[in-house]
Amino acid sequence: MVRISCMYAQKNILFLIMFSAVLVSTKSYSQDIETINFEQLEELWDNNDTLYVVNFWATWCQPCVEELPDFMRLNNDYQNEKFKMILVSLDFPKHINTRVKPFLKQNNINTKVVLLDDDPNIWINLISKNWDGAIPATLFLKNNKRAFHPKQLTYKQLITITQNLQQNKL
Amino acid sequence: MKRIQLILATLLLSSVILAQGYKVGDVASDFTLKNVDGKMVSLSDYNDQKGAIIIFTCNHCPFSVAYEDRIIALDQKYKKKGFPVIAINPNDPQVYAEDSYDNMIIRAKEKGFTFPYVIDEGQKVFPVYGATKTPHVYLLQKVNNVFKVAYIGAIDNSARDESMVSKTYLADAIDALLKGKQPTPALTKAVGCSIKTK
Repeated sequence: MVRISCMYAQKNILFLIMFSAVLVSTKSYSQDIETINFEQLEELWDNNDTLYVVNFWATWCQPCVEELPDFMRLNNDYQNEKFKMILVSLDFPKHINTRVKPFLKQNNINTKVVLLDDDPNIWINLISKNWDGAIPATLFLKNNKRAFHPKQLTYKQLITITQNLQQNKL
Repeated sequence: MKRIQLILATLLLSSVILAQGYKVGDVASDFTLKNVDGKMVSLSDYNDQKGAIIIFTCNHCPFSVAYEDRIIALDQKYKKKGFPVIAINPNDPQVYAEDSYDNMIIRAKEKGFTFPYVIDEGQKVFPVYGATKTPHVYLLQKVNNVFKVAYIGAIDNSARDESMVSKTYLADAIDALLKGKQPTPALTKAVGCSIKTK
């Protein structure tokens, strides 16, 4: 009886060790993705000399997925500057754990990601009156300057837009 | 020389205006596109109706898929009242293989579509309407023998979760027309999958 309970305890300990290993690994690999409304989204940027790149995307959107490596390259280029990239996912909230997180991990995306859940008929116009909601779309902000591009962008286009904003050409 | 420049500028300006597609109040031109049953469907086939619900939609886009049941329900409710649905797939199958004509036939059968699901072969119709994404709705009303655009935009305000819908924009627009009123809002926005051309 003693032997049995001892084995049982060993099993329990083993289970605990394995379980905590899983916990630690999940924590180190995946970032938390907050589901936010538009007001909370706007709080992520400021009217200052940081350049914000706000990209609207989803894992289900093929052109969005195609352009993301170029966005990551841009993010890397500007890592030492006043620069912040925010990826606004329009994925289904039920897919955060099953699709969005695995996608970010697989593609080594380490920039800020949030999931936007609000009335599109209101927030799309607040991003741009000229946008009707087709994704991908990207908003660039610096001080009071804005540039909005509702289309798939190449690395070359990203660099040009970013440099123009940095040099206050827009 | 100046006159030529002026003509060129006018031409350029008008082509820009045309590229923007229809606005509410515009007259929609006729089209003839192939349905999943192999037959051709024209807007003019619906001349005896009060109008038509044109929905640009497709197989591959999850937001379109999320709306399939709601589109069937709209067709069943409003066909009887003179506003049937015509679904148009505007995508190039070479860009999205899932949106091929054969896959459209499969999807229409699987879901039991109660309305025509036609293919915009050569992608000629969607630019005339100005559709940019799927799903993208154009509600047409028959006025003095022409189809006029009465409403453009979204089906409702919650693509991702039907249980969260609080505004049924398209249904409200049709109800307004049936009461002899103009829809308000007549233009709404929603997130959708870009219509890609090669």
